[in-house]
Amino acid sequence: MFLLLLAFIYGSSAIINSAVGAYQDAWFAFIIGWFSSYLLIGVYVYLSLLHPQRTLIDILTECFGRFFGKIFATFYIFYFIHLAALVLRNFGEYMNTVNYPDTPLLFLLIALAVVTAFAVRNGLEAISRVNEILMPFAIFFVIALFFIFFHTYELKNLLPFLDKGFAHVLKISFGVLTFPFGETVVFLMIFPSLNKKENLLKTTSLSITASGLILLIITLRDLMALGPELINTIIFPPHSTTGLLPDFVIDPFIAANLLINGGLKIVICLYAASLGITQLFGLQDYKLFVLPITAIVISLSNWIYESLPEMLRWAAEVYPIYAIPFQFIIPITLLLISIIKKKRSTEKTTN
Amino acid sequence: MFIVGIVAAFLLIFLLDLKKLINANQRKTTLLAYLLLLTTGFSISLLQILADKPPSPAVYIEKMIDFLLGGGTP
Repeated sequence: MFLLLLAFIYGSSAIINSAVGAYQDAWFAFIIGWFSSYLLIGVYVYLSLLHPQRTLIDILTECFGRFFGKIFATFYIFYFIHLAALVLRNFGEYMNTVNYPDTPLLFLLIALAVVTAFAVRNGLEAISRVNEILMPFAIFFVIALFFIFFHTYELKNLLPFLDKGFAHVLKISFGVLTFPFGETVVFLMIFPSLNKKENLLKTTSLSITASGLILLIITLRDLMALGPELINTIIFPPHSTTGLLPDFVIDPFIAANLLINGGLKIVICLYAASLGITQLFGLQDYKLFVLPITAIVISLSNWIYESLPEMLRWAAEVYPIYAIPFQFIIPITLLLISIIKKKRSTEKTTN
Repeated sequence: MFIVGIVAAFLLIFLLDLKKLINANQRKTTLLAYLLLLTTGFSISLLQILADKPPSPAVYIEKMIDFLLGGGTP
């Protein structure tokens, strides 16, 4: 679970950093977003602990009633499919721009999506086991790259501090909170499958700490190596950072990181969407819906943006607002309803 | 050419799942949910090969947010 959550948060952040809009204060905006995420993910964990055997779909039906619960569940399923499509498109655009400029984007999308679909069909345990093997490599790459570029770092790239004002940093940090930390709302579909629920809070806290540290290392690396202006102008800062050492071919490490973590993020989203559909219709086997959902994800991923700049603009400007109901309003409302219901039932039993 | 590829891809998906569909417990509901998803995927794929491609859901989401906020996205 620790590595699964870690890989999910790391995910496409291996290539896209939502904090870069804060320029030289990107590291500070990231830290604010990261620390706020403890509260937000705490809401998800507490909600799951109040309903240990229930997934998000069940909780929605229980708290909002059968009719409204199913409507909200449908919205969440769309959100999971949409999220998978967004991550898949990030992956496709990166590969298309950096590694395979002559290969059609659609082909790259299909190639990754098919692999992830068959991973989901093998079940959550198989996914977790593969992640246990691959994730340490990804962590090693990040730490190794941080030290390899050490001689290129310039501390002056972090100054002047709060040049654009605290309000601007706060706005960017909200973006960091929604992407990638808030996206862990997907795990409300996975938490019920865990064996040791008593360790849930501890494991998620450790995961947020580790993933936050990794992403902070990446933010500092790109910021100190490239400078605040450049990381805002270029499309994929990690790729450009690797260009600073022309004698070494380091770029495949970034691509490998993206494959491992971005792939896992798509897997989790596909799993959540398939399980969501299964529970929405009151069925048993989620595996049957994996391939049709993957087909939707591929089509949506190809359709959703006209171009790469549009994808980046949407991710920075629209996504943080679009995510508010899914990541904040509905989970917090569910938590409040669950607490009230629990209090009432405790009062009834004592009376 | 594209339409043949799309039809072939979705037919392949259906054939891969056919055995599971036949052995499914609640066959009617399962088939309904399955075909609903498959048709959605097929329709989205078909929309993309149209000469006049409709705007993507991202555009509608952005318009809806603009409407709710009473102005442009920040």
